[in-house]
Amino acid sequence: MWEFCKYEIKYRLKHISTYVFTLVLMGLAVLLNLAAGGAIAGSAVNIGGVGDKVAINSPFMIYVFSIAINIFSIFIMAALVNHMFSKDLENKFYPILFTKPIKKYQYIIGRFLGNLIIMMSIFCAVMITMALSALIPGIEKDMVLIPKLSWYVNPLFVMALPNFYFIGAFFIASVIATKKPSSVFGIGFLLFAVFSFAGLITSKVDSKTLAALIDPFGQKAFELSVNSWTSAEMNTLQVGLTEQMLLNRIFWILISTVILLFAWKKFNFEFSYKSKNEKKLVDYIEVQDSKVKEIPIVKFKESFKTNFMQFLSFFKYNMKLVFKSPAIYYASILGLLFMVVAIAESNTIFGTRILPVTYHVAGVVYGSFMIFFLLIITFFSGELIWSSRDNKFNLIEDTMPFKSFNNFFSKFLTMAFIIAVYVLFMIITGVIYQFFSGYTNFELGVYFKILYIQYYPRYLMLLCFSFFLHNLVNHKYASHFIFVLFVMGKNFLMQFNIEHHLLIPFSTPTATYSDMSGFGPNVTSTFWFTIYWLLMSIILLSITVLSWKRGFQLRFIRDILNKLKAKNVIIINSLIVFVTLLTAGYIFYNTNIINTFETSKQSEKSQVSYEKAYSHFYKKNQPKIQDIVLNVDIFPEQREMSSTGRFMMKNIGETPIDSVMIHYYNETELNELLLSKTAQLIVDDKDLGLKLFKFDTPLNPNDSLYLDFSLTYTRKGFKNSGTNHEILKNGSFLHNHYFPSIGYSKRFELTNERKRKKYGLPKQDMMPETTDSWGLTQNYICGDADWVSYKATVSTSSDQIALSPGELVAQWKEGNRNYYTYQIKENMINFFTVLSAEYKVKKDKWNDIDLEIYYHNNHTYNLESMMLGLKESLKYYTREFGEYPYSVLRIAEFPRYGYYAQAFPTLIPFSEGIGFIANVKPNTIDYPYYVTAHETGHQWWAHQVIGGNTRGTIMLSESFTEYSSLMVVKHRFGDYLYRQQLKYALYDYLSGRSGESRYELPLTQVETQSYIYYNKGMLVMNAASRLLGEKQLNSALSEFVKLTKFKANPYTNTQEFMSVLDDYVPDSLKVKIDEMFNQIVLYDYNLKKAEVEELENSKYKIKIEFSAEKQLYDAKGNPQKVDLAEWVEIGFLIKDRLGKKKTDKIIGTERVYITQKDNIIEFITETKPEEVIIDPYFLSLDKILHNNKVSVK
Amino acid sequence: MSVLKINSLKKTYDNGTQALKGVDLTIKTGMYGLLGPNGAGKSTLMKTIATLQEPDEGTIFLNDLDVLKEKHEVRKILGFLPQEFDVYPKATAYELLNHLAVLKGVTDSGVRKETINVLLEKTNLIHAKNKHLGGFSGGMKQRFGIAQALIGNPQLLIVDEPTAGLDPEERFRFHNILSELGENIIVILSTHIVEDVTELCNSMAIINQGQVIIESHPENVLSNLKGKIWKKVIDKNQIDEIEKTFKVISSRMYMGKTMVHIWAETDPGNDFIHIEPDLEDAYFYYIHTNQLKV
Repeated sequence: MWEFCKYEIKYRLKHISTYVFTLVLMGLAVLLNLAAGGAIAGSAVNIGGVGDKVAINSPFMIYVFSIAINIFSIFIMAALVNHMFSKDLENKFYPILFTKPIKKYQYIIGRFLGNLIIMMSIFCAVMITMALSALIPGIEKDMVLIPKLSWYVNPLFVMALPNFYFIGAFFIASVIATKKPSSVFGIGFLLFAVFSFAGLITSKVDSKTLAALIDPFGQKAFELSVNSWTSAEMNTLQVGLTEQMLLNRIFWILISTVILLFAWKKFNFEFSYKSKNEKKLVDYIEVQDSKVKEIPIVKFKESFKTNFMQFLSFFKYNMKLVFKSPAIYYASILGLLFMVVAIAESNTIFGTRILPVTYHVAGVVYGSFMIFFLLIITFFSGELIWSSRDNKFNLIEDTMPFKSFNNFFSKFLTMAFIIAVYVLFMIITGVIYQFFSGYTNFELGVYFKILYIQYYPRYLMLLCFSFFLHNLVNHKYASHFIFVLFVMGKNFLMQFNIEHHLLIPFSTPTATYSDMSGFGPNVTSTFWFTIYWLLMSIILLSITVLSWKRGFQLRFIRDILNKLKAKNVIIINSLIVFVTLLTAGYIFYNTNIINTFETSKQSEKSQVSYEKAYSHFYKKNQPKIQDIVLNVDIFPEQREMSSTGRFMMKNIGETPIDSVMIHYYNETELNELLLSKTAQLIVDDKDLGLKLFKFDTPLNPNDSLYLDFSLTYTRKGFKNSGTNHEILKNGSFLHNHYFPSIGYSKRFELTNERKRKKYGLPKQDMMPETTDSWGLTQNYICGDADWVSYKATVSTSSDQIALSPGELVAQWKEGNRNYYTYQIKENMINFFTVLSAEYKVKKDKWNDIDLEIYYHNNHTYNLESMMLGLKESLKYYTREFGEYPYSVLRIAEFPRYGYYAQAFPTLIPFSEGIGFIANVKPNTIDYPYYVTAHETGHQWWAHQVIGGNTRGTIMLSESFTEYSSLMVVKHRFGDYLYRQQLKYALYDYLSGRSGESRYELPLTQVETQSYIYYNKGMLVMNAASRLLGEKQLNSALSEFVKLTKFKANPYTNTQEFMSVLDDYVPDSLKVKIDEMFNQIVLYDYNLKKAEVEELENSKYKIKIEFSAEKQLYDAKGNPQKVDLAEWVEIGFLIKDRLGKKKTDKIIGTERVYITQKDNIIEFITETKPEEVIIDPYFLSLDKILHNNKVSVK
Repeated sequence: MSVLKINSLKKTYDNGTQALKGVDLTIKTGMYGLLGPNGAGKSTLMKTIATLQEPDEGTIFLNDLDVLKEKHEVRKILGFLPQEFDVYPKATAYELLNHLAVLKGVTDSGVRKETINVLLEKTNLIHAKNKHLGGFSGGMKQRFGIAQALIGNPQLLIVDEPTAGLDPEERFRFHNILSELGENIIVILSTHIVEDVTELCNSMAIINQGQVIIESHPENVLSNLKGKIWKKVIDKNQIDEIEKTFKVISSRMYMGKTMVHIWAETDPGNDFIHIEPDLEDAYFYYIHTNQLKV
């Protein structure tokens, strides 16, 4: 056995490919380090989705890189195993070898071991490279730690060795089973597919453990093991064999071993590599007919018919070749599975699926099938091109009198045809899926447009490229490899600031389809870039045709030059080049001349120059807007807008104002900007959209002035990116930023810390301290106004309705346009919007409040739920927190160019993508209802009570809103879904904090981190309401509303709320409440065992065993163990059903007080529980959730 | 009467091998034998004539047709059986011949059917007509190759080592087919088996190391050697000694001993027996003298 092992190693060491593989992987390691360390393109690339504070050689990142390299190793293992078997065959050595007295295991295990050792050595070399490349100059010093050896050794044995073992085992088994060494490439792809599949199902909280198990590379297990880690922990903790990792590793090692054993059993030395159906024919000579007929003499006729028949014969041949290949069927079956799972699982929100509307199905089907297409394109174009060459049949074929073009073109068309058939297959799958989901609005036209018109050309481009490559590189496997590298590397170009679609190969902008606005505004640019890249692909094809290999010609350039001697060839090719250039020119004219083209680097730079030039205006006294009068005319057909308006402004500060800074949207044309007080324009920065006026005489405190403006938004041609998706043919939705604003805004500053450092900008503090007196002079949403009065007259075309916040005070028609005036008389924050679309309206009433939902055509699926959400939340909030100040509340749908809902006073724009097409089942979270309740909550939290621009302020709007809507949801949907919602909140909080790039702050200090103000906010507020009682907490909130409603200068803050709350907190809970709101404390409860014993009085004694740990975190994420002194809630569960889904039901809870790590506690219950859960309502933030529940034994 | 004229054809491969060092040949209607050891440049020459490869220098004309430039025209009248080729294993003999016949321009389906059937009969493959080519034995595959080369009755037939994998009976049948054809068209038969040429060809050339050593009729080739070939049966260990004294052109085992043929102008004595030269002697003679020159 060792002989074989040694032989294999020696053989590998002699082979150049071993070194090439090692070098490629080393290169990859260096590249990953350089990119993550900020040495490429001037800025760090976020790899692995972690925060900026995670060092590139932290134990965490070493794992991330190791896994990436492991996955990439599939290719290399495939080549090794392929070669391990095929070399004997090629050398015709096997008859000699297999007749020697060797044992099977010696042969298989020995060689396998040899290859494993080689692979591990390659990986070690890569690890060393990885360690050393962290020292490359250019990598930011603060991104590098002083590493420990164990950081590198650990993944070697936890990740690499098991991974190589299972990959190798699968490959060997596949060669033995199929008798084809090349089948390893198929299996390699399959493994990759399983890995991607595990990724597909992780969006659901409950599938994460399953995904961790089935991902063969252990990446998902790794993710689950570390999902609660902070940056500091990633930098210090060793990822070890956690429970999930161990399970995953054992599972796959077992499977691989079984497979290997099977292979060993099946293997025998008569192994001939020939497939079974190739039985030898019996050859015999028939009695000869005495007169053999003559071969008919045929004179070759040069005609269209001949050409066409030749083409057709090739075409038929190629089709047979493809359809006789099993690979195409494997790919189809796998692809089908992928598609179905992807349609069902993608875009789920809180585990609730969306309806299979056609654009969703088509988009998902495209995305999930992409990888199969790449495979099909490169694999089969390779097979077709090489089919004759591989078996030297071309020596015969190429001497036949056909035009090379026919041969080439038949192959190309075969591929194009097969892809078209595949697309049809995708559509049929989609339609069948829709049918079985009970969704019958099939919209075949939409399928056709999305898949055939938009995406099919992309496949064609890649196909052209693949043909080009195979012909140029003239080596099948090398071409496959380059093709894959190219497709993966294409997106990498962005890192080098190449962002123009003219320069990124085959990149075309996507025109996202929306039910409301069709393909939307990107259609033009998509069209032109598609044409451009198709033309470029045709050029590639021409080169391919001109250099098409026939016989033994290998001189690429010479062949092209030779063929270019023909006149018609020159004419055709120059014509193609000319048209391409013309198209490029036209695109360039649109993107760079009539529109401005800006790379992200350039826009970073303009952010920097803004801050450098104007930051002295920060905190400078500026007039505040008091009154807003707007006229906005939307022209949907032209996708244009014009507006006039008047802001009344006042100096409400204590110092005179000598100059005023006015921002406007630089995409609009500012026709007029007039101040009612004489002032000189001293800065006019059109690029930034900024004007600075200096008053002739300062504006004294309490003096006011008017700002009159008139602006238009006109559309010019198309852009490279950043197309306006706000003013649309149907579904316009535009925000404040179209209109002037006053004063310096931190919002335009560059926020990425590393980039700031690079540009020499000082450290940015996101928000002033909670009690900062300047901060409390403005609210956190808009610094240039407090509570304003608002009146907007909005107009649109006659078939559309225009909306804006406020009560509708007038409505009329003029010409063929609809006019509406909306008004909010007082107390509105400077936060408004204008929408316009062809709406249908659903109306209802709650008490005296008009409820209206403006929705698109057939999006009626969840209207009842949303309406109920409006009513029930209005009812709860009015009862618990105070009055709703307006007489109307509206929801208005907007296209899915954004996936969110937003609350303006009286008006809730709601994306078509997140609520209107939700597929709510009785067992799933009804998020249309929940989101409605959330946005309605903002009518109190943000639009009545709003905090100043200081830390913690967002808690007052978002956390309170999350809590409020959670209560409404709880009362409507009951305990199970309430707990589900909390579970999602905890997961999101944990993953949010592990991706933190600055620092984590306690809830009352929160800056802009949504995982704190939404997710932790919900959990903490919920815990408070369970601990204090819902009534009690609501009383505090209601008192807080009374105290701070419409308050400004100073605005309220979290401190004020905490002091209100304090009166409602009994002494026994003061410590806990303080911990929840003012600290970062996480727990780990681990429920190990629960045993039940039936007592004589038909009661049950439950004995449970659990451990508890508590950790206090600092802002950087460093944990510190603290003593336990906790009330822990224990829940007893029985199994239940909700609709089709298995759920559970809490039949009782008990609270126990614990002070030590390990606890054994006994309870007596009336009924027998089936499961026990620790902390069922998430009163503590538990880092590891999946060890909280056990079945009762 | 057609003439294929090859003029100072040169070819050097990228790895430096000089495959053709200026080959001149004139080939007329009839069977033409191209003899030479493996690696002599025969295959390069064949592939070049068969439009699969381009020389670095030189010209090839078939009557007025410039073979190197007007490949498409050449292909219309060409039949080629390469030395080494494989087939699509999953296609049947009929399917593949049908495909090739279409490519050859046999567009009429009736004619095509007849062509294929006749060819399959001629090559004795009719029983395997609808069998997958993957199951064909070496000989069958070779016969299939012959069948395809004859589609459409070519004017120029190039067969490269055609009898290599055939058993004697098949070889005989193949010779019959060829000689029948050789009456009207140019057939170039490249081989390293001397008997092939002896049996079939009325003209021949011997080629070695990229050069034509002799081009002539087989009789002429032999007449040059008439009276100059002698043989003797010796012990194996005497061979070195003999080689030192005489110009040995071949030595082979003969009933446990070694039989040597030598070339000598006059009787070499030493018990050498005079024999009539055959083509094999000529072949070895020219190849060896050629090597001696170089």
